[in-house]
Amino acid sequence: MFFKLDSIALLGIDCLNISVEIHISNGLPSFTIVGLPDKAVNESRMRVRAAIINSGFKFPSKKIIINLSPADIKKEGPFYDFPIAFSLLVVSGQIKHRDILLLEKSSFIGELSLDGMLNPVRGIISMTEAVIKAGKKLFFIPEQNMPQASIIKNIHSQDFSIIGCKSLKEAVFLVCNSSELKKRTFKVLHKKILPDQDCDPATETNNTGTDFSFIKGQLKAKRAVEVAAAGMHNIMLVGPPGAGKTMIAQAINSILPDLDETERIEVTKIYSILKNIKGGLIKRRPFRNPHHTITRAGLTGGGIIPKPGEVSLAHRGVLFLDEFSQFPRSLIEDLRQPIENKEIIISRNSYFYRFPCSFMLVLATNPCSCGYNGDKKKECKCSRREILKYWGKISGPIFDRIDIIVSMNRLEENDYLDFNMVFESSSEVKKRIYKCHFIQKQRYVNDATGDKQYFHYNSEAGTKFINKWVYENKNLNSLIKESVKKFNLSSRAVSALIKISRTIADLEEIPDIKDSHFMEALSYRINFNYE
Amino acid sequence: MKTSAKLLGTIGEQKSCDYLTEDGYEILEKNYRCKFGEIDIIAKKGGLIIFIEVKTRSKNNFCEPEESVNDFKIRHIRNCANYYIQQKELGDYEFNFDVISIIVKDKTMSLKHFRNCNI
Repeated sequence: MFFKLDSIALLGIDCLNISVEIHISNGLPSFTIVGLPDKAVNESRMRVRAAIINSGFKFPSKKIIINLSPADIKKEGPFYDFPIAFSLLVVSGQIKHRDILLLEKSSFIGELSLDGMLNPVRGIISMTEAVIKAGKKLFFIPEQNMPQASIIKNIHSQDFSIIGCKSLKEAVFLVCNSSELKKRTFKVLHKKILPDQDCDPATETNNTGTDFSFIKGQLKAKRAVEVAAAGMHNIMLVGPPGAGKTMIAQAINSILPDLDETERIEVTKIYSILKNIKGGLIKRRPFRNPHHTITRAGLTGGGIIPKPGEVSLAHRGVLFLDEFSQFPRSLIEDLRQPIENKEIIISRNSYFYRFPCSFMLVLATNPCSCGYNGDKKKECKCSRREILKYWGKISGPIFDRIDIIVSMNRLEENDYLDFNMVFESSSEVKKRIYKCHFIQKQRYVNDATGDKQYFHYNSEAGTKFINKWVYENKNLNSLIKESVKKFNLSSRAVSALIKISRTIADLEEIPDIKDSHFMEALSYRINFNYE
Repeated sequence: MKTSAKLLGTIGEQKSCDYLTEDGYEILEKNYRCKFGEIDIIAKKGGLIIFIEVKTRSKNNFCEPEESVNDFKIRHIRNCANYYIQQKELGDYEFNFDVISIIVKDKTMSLKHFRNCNI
């Protein structure tokens, strides 16, 4: 006897609709799963057997063969317990389904526990999107996944609904009672389930509590950080030990506004591949701060079955690399494409995996190995050769991709004791940046193209926009010409300059780019000289 | 001359056969041997054929008799059963693996029948 149910395989952040085929025949009782299952899929045999028996059904003592088709793509994870168990019940005649069409148009996903309850799965958002795309009518998922799954657009359309089941038994009950099922569908259709809590695995450990008002002095660096955050530009902070580089970098998180709705889905999608996120969508921007002992797979993503790395986990947020010069050179070079393309493609022989990684790169480093190069009071002990060697680790291409470089000095003795001076708090800066982000989103909202993730910050603007801005602001032409000549700028550097000028103009809410904006942007790029 | 362990085994198997016949089974084979190993009892009831491994212990020391039927043993029985099915062309039947465990203690016997011990 043969039966087929549809399910979903998770491939990186994308999904593939697969079918669980089952064949049952007389012969020595056995239970085999084929179709490139991994260990977790193969072990589902044990869970399925226990769950079926503990739900009050009979496990057929026959020769059972399960095929996960297409059979040439590696399947991972315990997601197929539910479709396997369900199809076993159908094929052994324990589910008297009147409506075979119903099952043909449904998809199943879920992990079974031994008592027959359904446990939540990872990556439910991507899965739901794929199921909608495949034109299914019903999607049976574990109930604990409902808050996230029901957020997807089109969810409230007439011909698609998600059914959250507590247990295998409940799912069987629903399929057998079409009136109950209709009731459930109805409920889902009309009750918009919103996230009841904001669980933020992205930021739960990174809420440093550093506020902008805590930082004394360093006005130049604060301004640069504000500009960088306003347009999500890359920034490097250079300074002697104790100047406050790390503190300012950690405060960036407090001046960035929360994610908007589309971004929240994007970010939650990435995080939900790694672990179950209870509740709704992630709200705060991720702030990732990996140590320099990180491995290549940890930074860019990888593994036998690729998982997102730190660059992707920092998507729509901040990737802060403290002590940048301590990172291995190969890792620094690995960042080239992710910075530029805003996505990383990890190729494996069977499939390629695409992870978005549109992050704001924040680097902090000392100006030389002794740390005091350029300091006003303390003398640097490094030779010229040592300094060149120190900076040689960061190649030209990487330097070219850093839009803003600020050198910071240590505080003067009076700065510590001046309690009269009140600095702006993070929430005030956040308001300005929120406005600036809003202007940018308005500008790019019409440029969203179908499949590609849509962009909405100046740092992501393409050549089309840069040309337009240069054309619209004729006053810049001579400035650009002169600065290219004088500072030997690359074309990437020029477009970065224009993008930063645009951000500064947006911060002031001015539609045209003025000379002063361009000059400020230029100062961030050329002011720093390590020699 | 039979050793006492072997004797105990034979007693156990005989006891199991009696029990199965009483239960309505027809004994097809006893101590079926092939190159893959040995099956203690093969019995039939309606459309069902069962392959039985009998374990007999004289006293309950350390572990139950049925616990010593491990994966290795089951694999042997499977191979053997496969061979038997092909030789006798029994494709249409349903098959099961059972274990019968017998504890002999003070001239009393306790018998347990574990049905459907498939892996």
